[in-house]
Amino acid sequence: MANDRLAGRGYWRLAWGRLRHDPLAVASGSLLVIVFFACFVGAPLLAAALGHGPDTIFSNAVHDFRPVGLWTRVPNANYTGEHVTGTTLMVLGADGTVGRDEFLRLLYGGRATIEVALGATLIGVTIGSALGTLAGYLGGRVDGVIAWVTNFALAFPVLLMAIALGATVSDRYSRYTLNGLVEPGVLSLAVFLGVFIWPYPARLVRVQVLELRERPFVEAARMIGSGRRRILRTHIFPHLIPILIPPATIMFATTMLLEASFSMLGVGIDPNTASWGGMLASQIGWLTALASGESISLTSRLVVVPSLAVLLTAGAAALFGEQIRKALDPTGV
Amino acid sequence: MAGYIVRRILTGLLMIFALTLITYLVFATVPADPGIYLTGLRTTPAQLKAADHALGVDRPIYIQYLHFVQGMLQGNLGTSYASGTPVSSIIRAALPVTASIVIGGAVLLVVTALLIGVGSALRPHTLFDRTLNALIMCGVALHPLVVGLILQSVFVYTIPLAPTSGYCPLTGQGSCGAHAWAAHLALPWITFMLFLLPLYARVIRTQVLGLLTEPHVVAARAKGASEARVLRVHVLPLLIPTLATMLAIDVSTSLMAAIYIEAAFALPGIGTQALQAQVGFVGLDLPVIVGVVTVVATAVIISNVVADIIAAKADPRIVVARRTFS
Repeated sequence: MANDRLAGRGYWRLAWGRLRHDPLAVASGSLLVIVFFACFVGAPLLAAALGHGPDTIFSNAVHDFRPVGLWTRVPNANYTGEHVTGTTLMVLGADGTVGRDEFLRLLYGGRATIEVALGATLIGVTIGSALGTLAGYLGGRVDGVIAWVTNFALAFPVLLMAIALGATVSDRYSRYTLNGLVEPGVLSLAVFLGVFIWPYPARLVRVQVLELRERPFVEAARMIGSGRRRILRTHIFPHLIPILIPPATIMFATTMLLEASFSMLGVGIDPNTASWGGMLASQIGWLTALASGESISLTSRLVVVPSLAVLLTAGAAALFGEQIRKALDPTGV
Repeated sequence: MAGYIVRRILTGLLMIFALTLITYLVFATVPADPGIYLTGLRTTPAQLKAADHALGVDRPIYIQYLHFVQGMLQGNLGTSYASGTPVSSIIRAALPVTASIVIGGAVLLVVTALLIGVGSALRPHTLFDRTLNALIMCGVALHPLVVGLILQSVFVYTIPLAPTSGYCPLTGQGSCGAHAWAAHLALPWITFMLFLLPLYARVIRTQVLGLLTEPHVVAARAKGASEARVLRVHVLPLLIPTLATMLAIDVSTSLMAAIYIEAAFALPGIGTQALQAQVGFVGLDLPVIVGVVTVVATAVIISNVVADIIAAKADPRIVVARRTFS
């Protein structure tokens, strides 16, 4: 091309250009990138630098059942009684009466929580868009059956049955970690949540496909003899991606909260594996214990730190999705 | 229309059977010994066996389920293993609490979402609109339990504006009554409102922005209608179908959120009942859980049918009967 500047710019490039100049999108996107890097790259690096992991217990980090506070140096020692020299810096102090490094647990906990949220969102969006497309495109009886299944999943009281389901499902499958790719318990929880959040994308996709299938370009494709699979793949599917991104980010935020919800019911990720929901639940207590009237200090560092982590990450994800929606659809509002 | 309603009720009944069946199947796989509810923890195997027989849990699970269905068809949900009281009376005591939280919260939600959504749609792309939008989106990340506990610690303990937790029936005698009822539920309502506000405010804003450019609004303005009249007569009524559909879809989510709100404010609603039925040292109080599942499913089905009828009445372009099962 002699003059690249005049070359047409595609849909995605235009959207990217708009997104890049949106201060809210840049701020929330950067925050997400920072959190991801801190959790997935920073956590193992910091653990290597400090010389202990998120589950290492420091007996000197707890005095009279009170964990040490922010930015404390703790002498290295462990319960086995071996003689160890030197001290360790606990940036956010210790994690309650056990005496583990709160900052490292925060970073490692972010991994588990983000893995659950990402996995559940991916599973939910995949099932939802597949069923939504089928229902919208085929219509008729298929639509009827899928609509019934969708309503069934929407009406299913997951949290009411979480304790029983947790007892039967999660224990049995928590050992699957995809060859150590994810923390124990993450995969089963992600699948479990994904199976229950697919109705939301499914409804969106169904409506969109109903509309797309009547468009002239789909009609033209059908007229020149394209098969059903080809039409779905090359003419319908590309139009679904922009409408799926914003709800996917909200699902990401919602599943982060659900991860905490499950921990509060005592059926989340195993409490020994760090996760944000688990850290929060270990302070607030399980729902079933709340009724006993035990007082909770909400301003305590151990409640504020994981709450802020969830709030910032989920909030940034939802906000980023909203800005993506605006960038993808500038005529819309 | 009538045929549609009948079909919806029939598929709804099918759904209740499917949900309760799954509940039975799930709980059948949980190792539990409900007989201990009767005998206490210090017991002999023979006593335990007799207690299991008295409760009927020694029969195969499908017999138990068929027994439950038989009872349900006669309007009987069985009796609790733990207390021996009929499940229907447990639910009759707990349902008003949860209904108060959810319905009151939904009213507050709709009012607030309309104020924020319409307010920001009337001044699109201003600093006010963008700030509100960003704040609201972050609200998606607030867990109802945490919000509830924070509200409680601020407005009950630090600045004592609200009464301490608990429930006061609307039609109660003595110190309870409409005023005390509302005072006790104010914070739960706010918690509920904040939980769903982000999505509702955003949808209303988008809809109003779209409606304001519609030909009939332009025509009304051209004929000299004031902005207030345009809003009241030509825009707001058109939000009814959307709001009705959204509220119906969120009934299930709301009842789940109610578990956390009830826990935060110590309200004896159906969420609390379902939780208590699952945390005994001895096992699971299956009849209570199935009863709650049935109530939740019924609420979801009824609200969806009502929402469809409201949507069809409010917008004649929506033809109810042509929709499929959903």
